[in-house]
Amino acid sequence: METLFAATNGPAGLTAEQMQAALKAQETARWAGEWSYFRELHTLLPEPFFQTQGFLLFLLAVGIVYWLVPRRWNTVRVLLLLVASFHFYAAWNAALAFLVTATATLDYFLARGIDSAKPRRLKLGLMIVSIVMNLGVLAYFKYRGFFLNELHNFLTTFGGDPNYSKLSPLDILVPFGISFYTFEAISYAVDVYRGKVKAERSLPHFLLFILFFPHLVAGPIVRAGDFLRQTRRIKRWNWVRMQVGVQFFLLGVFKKLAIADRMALYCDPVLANPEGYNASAIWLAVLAYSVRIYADFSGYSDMAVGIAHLFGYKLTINFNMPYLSANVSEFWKRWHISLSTWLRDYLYIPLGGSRGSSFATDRNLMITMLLGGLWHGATWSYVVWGGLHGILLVSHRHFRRWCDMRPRVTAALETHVGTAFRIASTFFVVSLCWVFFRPDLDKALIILERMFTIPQLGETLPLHNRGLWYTVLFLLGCHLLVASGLWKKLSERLPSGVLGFGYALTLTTAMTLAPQQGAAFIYFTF
Amino acid sequence: MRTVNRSRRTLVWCCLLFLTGQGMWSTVAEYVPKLRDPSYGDKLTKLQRRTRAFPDRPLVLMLGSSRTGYALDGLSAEDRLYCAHAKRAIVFNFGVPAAGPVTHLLYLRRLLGAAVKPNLLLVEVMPALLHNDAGKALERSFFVPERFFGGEAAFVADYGFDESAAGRARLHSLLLPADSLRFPASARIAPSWLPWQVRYDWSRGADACGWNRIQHPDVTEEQRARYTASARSEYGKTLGELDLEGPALRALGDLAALCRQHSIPVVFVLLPEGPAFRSWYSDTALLPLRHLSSTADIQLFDARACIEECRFADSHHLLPDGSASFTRSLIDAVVAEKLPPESSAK
Repeated sequence: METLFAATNGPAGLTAEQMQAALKAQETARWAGEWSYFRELHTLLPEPFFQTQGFLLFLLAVGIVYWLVPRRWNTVRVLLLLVASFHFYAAWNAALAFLVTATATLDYFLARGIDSAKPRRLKLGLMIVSIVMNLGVLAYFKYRGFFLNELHNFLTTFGGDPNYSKLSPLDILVPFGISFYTFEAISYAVDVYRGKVKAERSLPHFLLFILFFPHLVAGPIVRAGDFLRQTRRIKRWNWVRMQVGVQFFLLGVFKKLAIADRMALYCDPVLANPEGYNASAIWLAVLAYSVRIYADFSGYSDMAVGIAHLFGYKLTINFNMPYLSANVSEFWKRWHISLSTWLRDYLYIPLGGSRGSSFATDRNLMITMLLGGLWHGATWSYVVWGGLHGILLVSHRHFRRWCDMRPRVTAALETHVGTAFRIASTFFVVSLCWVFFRPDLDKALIILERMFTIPQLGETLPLHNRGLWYTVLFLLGCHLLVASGLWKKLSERLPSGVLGFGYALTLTTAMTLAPQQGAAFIYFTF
Repeated sequence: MRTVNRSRRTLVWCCLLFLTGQGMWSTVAEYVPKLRDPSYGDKLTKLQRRTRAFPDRPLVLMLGSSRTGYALDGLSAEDRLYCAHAKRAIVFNFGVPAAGPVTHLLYLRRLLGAAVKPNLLLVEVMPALLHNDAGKALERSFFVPERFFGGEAAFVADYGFDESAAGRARLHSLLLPADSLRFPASARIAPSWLPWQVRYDWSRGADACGWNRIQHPDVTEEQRARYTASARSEYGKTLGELDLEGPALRALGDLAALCRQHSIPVVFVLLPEGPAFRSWYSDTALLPLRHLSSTADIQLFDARACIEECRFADSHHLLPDGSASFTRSLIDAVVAEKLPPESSAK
C-alpha cells in the first residue's frame, strides 16, 4: 500500500536489494499459511509505520471509537486499545503477534507468582525464569544467526566441520521491536521482584503495557510503574492534550519525512558503497547519516509520544537535543533516554555502578556499553560501536577527574567558546562512531580509511550538497531556538491562528519534501 | 478555560488551513500545467512564448519522445528554412521523454484545447513504443497517472491504460496534492534537492524552440558501449518481438484522423537510429506502420539510416552534431516542401 507521503521498505540493517528480497521472501512465506482474516488485515495495514496512509486511517478509526466509549467504561477502552494494538502488530505478522502476546501473558503470571510467593528464593527463581524466557526469545530471533555464523566461522577456521550452512540475513525474520518489549518485560519482572512495583492484577492492563501500539515496535521503553498507573486513570477528552499530541506527531512526521528520509538520499548510496566515492563525499555522507539517525529515531519517538497523548497516555520523552551535548556522558543523558536509563538501572548499577574502584567503574561502563551495542544489532559493528562509546565514556570520566584538579582548564572549558568547542568535538566523535552503526564492519573500516587518507578519486555525493547544508543549518537554528527558551515563549504567546498555520505548514512541508522512496525506521530492527 | 479554547482553535485552524492549502494547490494545478504535467507544461510555455514573439509565422510542431527532444534543433531549423528555402516558420520541438503515440494524441488534444494549431505536424514514430504489449500500449508503464487532467484517464483507457488506477491517482492528486504533485512543485523551487528520476524538469532545460541539447556531448567509445547496452536492456526484448498491430498503432491512426478533422498536415517520422539499434529488429515488423501511412495518405519520412553510430550517445539519442545533420535533412526533405506558402499560412 502506498504511504501517505512515500513508500517505505522493510527493516533496515540490510542493503536496499537485500531488504526488498528479504521482505518479499518473508512475505510470501508468511502469508502462505496464514488465515485469510490476517491476510486481509495485511492488505489494509501492511507495515507498522506511523507515516503510512493505512496507519493514519487505523489511528482515526481507533481514536473515534475510543473517545465515543463513555469514560466510565475504562476497561472497555483498555480492551479496545489492546485489540487495536494486537491487530496493528498482527497485520504485519500474525504469528509473531500471537508469540508476543503469549510471552507477555506468561510474564504476567510469573510476576503474579513473584508477588505472591513468600520464599525469597522462589521469587528469585521466578524472576530468573521470566528473564531467561524473554532473553531466550530475543536470542532465538535476533542473535541466533549471529552466533551460529560466528560458530561456523570459528569451526571452519580451525578445520572443523560445522555440518550446517551459514544463515543469510534473508533467512532470519526478526520481529519488529523485539528488543524493546523484551526490555520492558524484564524491567517489569525485576521491579516486581524488588518490590518497586506491585504485580498487575488485570491481564488486559498488563498486556496493554507491553502491546500498546505507539511504543510497541520502537519504544520508548516504558516502565511498568509509569504506564500501568495510567491504564487505571479515567481519561477525559482534553483539547490541550490533543494539541500536545498533534504537535508531537507533526514534529515527528517532519523529522522523519523531511529530514531523515531526505538525508538517506545523501548518505545511503555512499555508505553502502564507500569504495566508489571520494573523501569529501564520504565526510558529507557521515554528516548526513548523523543527522538522519537523530531525525529518524527522535522523529519516531515524537510520533509515538504524540499518538499516546491522543489516547490520554504519556510516554517518556526519548531525546533532548543530544547533539547539543558538551560531552559524551551528557550525550547519553540526552540520547535514547529510555534505553540509557534502562541500561543504567538494570545493568550498570547491578554490576556495581560507580561504587567500586576506578577500574571496576570503567569495567562496568565498558560492559554496559558493549551489551548496549549488541542490543542494537547482532553484528560485530554494533559491538564495536558500543565499545567505542564505552571507551569515550571512560576517557571522559578520567578527563573530568583530571580537569577537577586544574581549575583554570575547567574555567576555560566552561566559557562560551569552550562550550562551543566541547559541543563541536562531542558531535564530531559521536558522528565518527556512527560509521559503525551499520551492519557491515568491513564497509565501516573502508569508510574510515577513505575519510582519513589522502584525497582519492571517486564519485561525489549523489545529490548537490546544498540541500544537506541547508538542512544542517535549519536543524541547528531549531535547536538554538528551543535551547534559548525562545520557542517556549513564542508558542505560549502566538495567536491560535498562527500556531494552526504553523502546524498545517509543517505537515504540508513534510509531505512535499518526502522523497519518492521512504526509508524504514532505523530503530525498527532493534 | 482560555488555554482549552486556544488549543481547540489551534487544531481547528490547523485542519482548515491544511485543507484550504490542499484545495488551493489542486485548483492551481488544474490551470497551470507545469504543476501537474511539467514536461508538457514547460514546453507549452516555451511554445506560447515563441508564437507570441512571432505571431505571423506558421508553426511546424514535432511531437515525440526524448529522441525527438535531442534530435530537432528548432532554431537551426528556422535558420535553414529561411536561408535555404526562403521560408519563415516557427519550428518547435515538443519531444517529451517516454512519450509514445497515446501521449502524442493526448498532447495534441491539449494543444488544440489551448488554441495551439500547428500548420504542419511532425510525429515521431518510435517502433518500440508502437509495440502491442498484450493488447495494451507499452507507454502506459511510463506515464505517471498524476499527470492526467480531468477526463483524460477515461480517454486513454481505450488504449490499454488502467483507468481505475489512473482515476485513483487523479483523485489522490486532487485531495492531497502535497503528496501526489510534490515533485513537480519542489523541482521548480529546489531542483538540486531531488534525484534526477523525480525532477520532471527535463523540458525546462530546453532552448526557446524546445530542443534539449545533450549536456555532455563528448561521449567516449567505452561510454557509448555502456549506454548502448543499457538501451538494449531497455528495448531489446520488445524490439525482438515487435508486433505493431495494437492500441498504439490505433492511437497513431486516431491522431491522423484528428489532424484531418482540423486540417493539419501531418508527417510521420522514423528518427535516426544507429546500426546497432536497427539490428535489434527487422524491417518487416514495420509493415503495419507503412500500411497505416499509405491508407491514411500520410508521408512516412524514414531517417533511420541517415546518421552514423558515432553521432549517437547510445545508438538512438542524437549528439548535437548528429542533431544538426538530422535537422538539416528534415527541413530540406520534408518541412520546406510541406510547409504551406507564407501568405496562406498567415
